[in-house]
Amino acid sequence: MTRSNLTRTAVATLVAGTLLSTSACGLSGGAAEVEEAERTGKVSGGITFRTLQLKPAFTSYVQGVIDAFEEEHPDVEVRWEDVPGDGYNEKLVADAQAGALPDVVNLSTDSFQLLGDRGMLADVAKLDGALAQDYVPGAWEQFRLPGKGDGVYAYPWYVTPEILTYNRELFEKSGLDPAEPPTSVEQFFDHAERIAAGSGGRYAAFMADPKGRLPGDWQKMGVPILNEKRDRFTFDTGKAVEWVERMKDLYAKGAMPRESLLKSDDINQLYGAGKLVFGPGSPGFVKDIKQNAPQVYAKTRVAGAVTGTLGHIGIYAQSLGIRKDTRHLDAAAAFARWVTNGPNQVEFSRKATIYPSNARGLADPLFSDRGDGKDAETVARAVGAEQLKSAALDANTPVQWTNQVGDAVVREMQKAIKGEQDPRSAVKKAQEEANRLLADAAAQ
Amino acid sequence: MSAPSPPGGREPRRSRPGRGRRWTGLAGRYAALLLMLVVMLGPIVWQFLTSIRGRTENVYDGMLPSQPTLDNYVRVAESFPLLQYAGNTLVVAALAVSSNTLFAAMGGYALSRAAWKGRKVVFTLLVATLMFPFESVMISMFLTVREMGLVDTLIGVWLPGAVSVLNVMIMRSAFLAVPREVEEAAVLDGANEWTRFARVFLPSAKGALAVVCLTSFMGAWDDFLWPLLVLTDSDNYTLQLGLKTLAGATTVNDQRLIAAGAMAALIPMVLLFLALQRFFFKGVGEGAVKT
Repeated sequence: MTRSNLTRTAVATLVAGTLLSTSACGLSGGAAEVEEAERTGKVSGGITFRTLQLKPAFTSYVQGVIDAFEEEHPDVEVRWEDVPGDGYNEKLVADAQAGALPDVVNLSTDSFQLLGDRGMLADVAKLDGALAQDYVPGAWEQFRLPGKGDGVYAYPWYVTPEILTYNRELFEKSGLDPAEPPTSVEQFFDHAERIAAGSGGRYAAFMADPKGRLPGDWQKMGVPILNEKRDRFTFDTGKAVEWVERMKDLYAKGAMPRESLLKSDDINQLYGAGKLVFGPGSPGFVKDIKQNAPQVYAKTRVAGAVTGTLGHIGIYAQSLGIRKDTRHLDAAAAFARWVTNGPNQVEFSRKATIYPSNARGLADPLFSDRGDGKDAETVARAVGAEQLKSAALDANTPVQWTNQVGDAVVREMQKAIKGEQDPRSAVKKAQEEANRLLADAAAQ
Repeated sequence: MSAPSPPGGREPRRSRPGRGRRWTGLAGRYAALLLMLVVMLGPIVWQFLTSIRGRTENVYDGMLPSQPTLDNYVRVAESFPLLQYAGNTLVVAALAVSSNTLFAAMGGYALSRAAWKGRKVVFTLLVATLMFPFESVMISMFLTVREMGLVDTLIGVWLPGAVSVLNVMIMRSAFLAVPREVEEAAVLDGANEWTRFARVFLPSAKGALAVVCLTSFMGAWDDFLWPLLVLTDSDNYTLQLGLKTLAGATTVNDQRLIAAGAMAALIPMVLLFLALQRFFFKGVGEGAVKT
């Protein structure tokens, strides 16, 4: 062996060794089955509580909730840490690997999936089964995990419902009645067509990116997304093809901004500049516009979300998960129950544009007050609360519709809307791809 | 733009480009430069304009601010502990700059001038580490820092970036460019290795040092994901983490406030660049060509 050969072998061995050790590190941390904690009946001990981006805006509210809890349970000490939204999931994964998850942790829909699928969360149905009835319909059931039976893996916390926001002035300019917003997907498209016809290219109706519209639009049109057994996608139907054809037609007519087909990040900006008729469908957005574009806020009207044949919206709640192997299960559970109870949630929604997932909280007069019916923010609160009362899980994005499935479907739709592919084969291809991904996930 | 010259220059030039053509060429060049300026500066100018808009102004309409105000800067300083966060960042940045300049220079010297067994192996290994994206080693790095008990400390934020391989490379090539004769002359004058390193090599690599200084400062100043993983107590937050708390999911995003925060965070970087630019422009090309 010559010297340079020796060097090369040494390098190769070292590199391979490094690779192996890093990958081993990545695997060993969290893959082992986490031991489940047991109730002791004693509410005591120090627990950590992690929230998702509530500091500094809600520091005093959260601290107040913690203080009140500690007063009631002097043996418990709550350590609060708040983490910004960007990178939240990365931090959760790193902590999960290191066995350093907080005892009570604020989870969004995707972080819930992330920890739930790894078996890191305690079954709260087992801890607090009787609590289910306290929440609005669907909120409790939302935290089941596919293939894990009747377990519920987080306490529902605050909810943000879907609503419809639109620019009254542009409605009138297009000859539409602001008092009669669309209620079905088909009507929504009809409105968009009228808007495109009269806008002269100065403004558009809505954003073309199919990502935000699917599978919601299809569900609202009565398209069956999955079969009975929920193990195959079945959205390849005449209705879905109709939807694509309509989108394609509207896109060609200029009802959506050209560049919005691939990305709709600048929706607030476009709406705030008066270049878009329909704004994003969240109550928080109404507040955003009030803050950043007061002139357009004055023209903003709010109505119930388009619900089509379903007649109701889905429910997406933030939640509080309990670390499965927490050392102080009783304290953690008591605290999570405390944070998500009616009064504390109502107090929270007075300060933020959120809604209680707690049924008694939602019955608070705050949520039925429409004011004089003119202030968009007040109306948005009432409209959102009204919709939550009838919200149901069947309007949620099914868990089978993962990010990968969504991306795959959206890719085909984008091609079809641009006119690079005919709608019928786009839907067919999308379904094939989605089913392939679903089968892959099931095989794992 | 000027016409492409024929390859090899063998073909004789048919005619001298006319005055008019040269003029349009110049105009084209300026137009291209102007376009670059707009593309690069546009977002910053937009941010700046947003940061001085009055509260009742429309942030999104793209007009010039009608009621310019500095109020947003005051509000940003009041709404979160800007100075404390900036102080934390400064600690990390100062550590990063000193450790990077020191160790990159020493490492670069060892890999370029000192002769020792296994130099090539070490060099190859170092280059190999450049191929791992941060995300792939993030978790194992976090576990290591955790084992060392450095979670939630600024030392934990600084340590993995204490010396970057790229900086070692920059210093190495800068030292390679120092003529061997200069070194030999120093040896004849009786300078030992440390003296040569400090008196001959470091001064002739000032530009490269400035580059290392600036990039390590920027890296520490701008980093978000790693500090986020390490830090949990918001008292220890760095500026970038703090700024993110201004733009929240449940919080109302006041774009004026976010813009003011971003502008404020930019200032130290601009100052440092201005202070170092004399060396900086020299440094980028240094070591590329031996003179």
